Amino acid sequence: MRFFYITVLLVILGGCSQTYPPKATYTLEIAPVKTEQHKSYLKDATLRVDPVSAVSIFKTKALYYRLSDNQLYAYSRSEWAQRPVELIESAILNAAETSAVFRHVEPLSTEAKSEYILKSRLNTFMQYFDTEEKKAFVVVDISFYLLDATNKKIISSQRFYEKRECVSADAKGATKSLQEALGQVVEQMSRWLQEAVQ
Amino acid sequence: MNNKVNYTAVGLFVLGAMVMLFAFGYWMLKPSDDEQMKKYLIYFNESVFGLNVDAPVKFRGISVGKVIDLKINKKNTQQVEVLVEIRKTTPINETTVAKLTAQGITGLTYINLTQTKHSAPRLHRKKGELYPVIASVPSFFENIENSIGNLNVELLKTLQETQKLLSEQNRKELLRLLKTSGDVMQKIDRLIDDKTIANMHKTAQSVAAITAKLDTLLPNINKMVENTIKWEDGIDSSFISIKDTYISMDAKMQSMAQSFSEAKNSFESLSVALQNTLQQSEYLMIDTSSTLESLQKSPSDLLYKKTKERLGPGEER
Repeated sequence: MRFFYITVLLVILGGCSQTYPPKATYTLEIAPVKTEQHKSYLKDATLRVDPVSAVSIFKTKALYYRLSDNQLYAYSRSEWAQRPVELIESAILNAAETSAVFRHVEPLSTEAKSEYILKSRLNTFMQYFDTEEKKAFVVVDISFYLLDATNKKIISSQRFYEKRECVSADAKGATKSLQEALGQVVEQMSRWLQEAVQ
Repeated sequence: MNNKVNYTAVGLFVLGAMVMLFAFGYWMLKPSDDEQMKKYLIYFNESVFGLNVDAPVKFRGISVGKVIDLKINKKNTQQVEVLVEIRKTTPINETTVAKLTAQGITGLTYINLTQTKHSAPRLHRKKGELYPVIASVPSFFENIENSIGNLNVELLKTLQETQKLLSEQNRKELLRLLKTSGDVMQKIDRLIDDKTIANMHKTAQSVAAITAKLDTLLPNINKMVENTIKWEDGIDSSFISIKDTYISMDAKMQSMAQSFSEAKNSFESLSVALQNTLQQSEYLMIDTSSTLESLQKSPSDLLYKKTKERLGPGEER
């Protein structure tokens, strides 16, 4: 019996002895949005930014890419530091705050009463390769909905699509281009918010 | 064999041992976390269903202690005596009150402490008390229960007043009034008939007859007026009573409206917390599902990673 236990222990420890190369972890750093009325806010109201809705592949930390034959894979040696939906929510919050359209911008978790709600749906946030996997581009596609918090009616909605060539056909190139494209999308979103509340 | 003793080394060793002994003694005697807590008593006049030993005690939502004992108050069996342990640093003053609060949908309850005045004197143990006593206020559900109870009482009062209004005496008075009115009407009817005939045949005589009839009617009319005044007095007092009842009901309704408003805020807060929890649960489910899917494809990966990794573009082994 003792021999059996020792064997089982050795088998388990044998599994633990395997090692894997470390994974590179990426995050996004979006520059603050600058608008004309940066010093004073445009609307004396509170905007609540709801969590971004998306399909399940954007709710994991895996860094996905798509080949020309529609096959979807995740990088083995690279991943996101946070889930893409969380990274994008953070970028939207920052952009809405720095654009100074609303007096206050709050995430859902603060439970504060608000006059407006900003909902968003992530359609695409991915790298695409050509047939030979030599060239790649990224696409960021997000739909935004501005709601009146009192009656939950949509005031305005807009979809922003941004495509960028990757500087290198790998994970590093993908994250850099996705960062640039997302920065462009949230800047467009800030301008749209400004027009929507006027 | 050299058996010469190095006394310096021995002395240093003894000194070192003594220092360590003192350090150990200080470590053993220093105040523990238990001694940083203070005990308080709370008497609740309602059921403490869902409140257990070790249930949290929160001050404005921050956990500051726990329940250490629950029992029925020997001096008043309608009360529940709850002994709690609260951090000494918690600002418990004379305006601090304890309220039983439900912990979401779990059925568990905790004690929530609030205070109305920040600058009030600190709460101390009074003469004859074993521990300082924190006052309690009814919980949200107790308030609703009381409001509904009061509403029932008020409705019962209204029904009683209505019954009083339709009492045997009042009904008799009403019947008599109706009868008198009927008599008067019959007489008026006859009078009109006489009057018509008289108008046609004897104008002058008719006037005199009418006057005579009116003279006989006057006492009856006086009687009717008196009866009407009496009846009005009776009905007036009943209406005043009904009015008072409705004013009281209005106050209760306002109190209920306030309770429901507070409940609405609580539910909104709960809804946000639930939404966050659901989001985190969704992430967990997605991760678990992904792991299970990969294990389903290759069960041996649980111990030995046998599935060959597919490297992405630009990645190296």
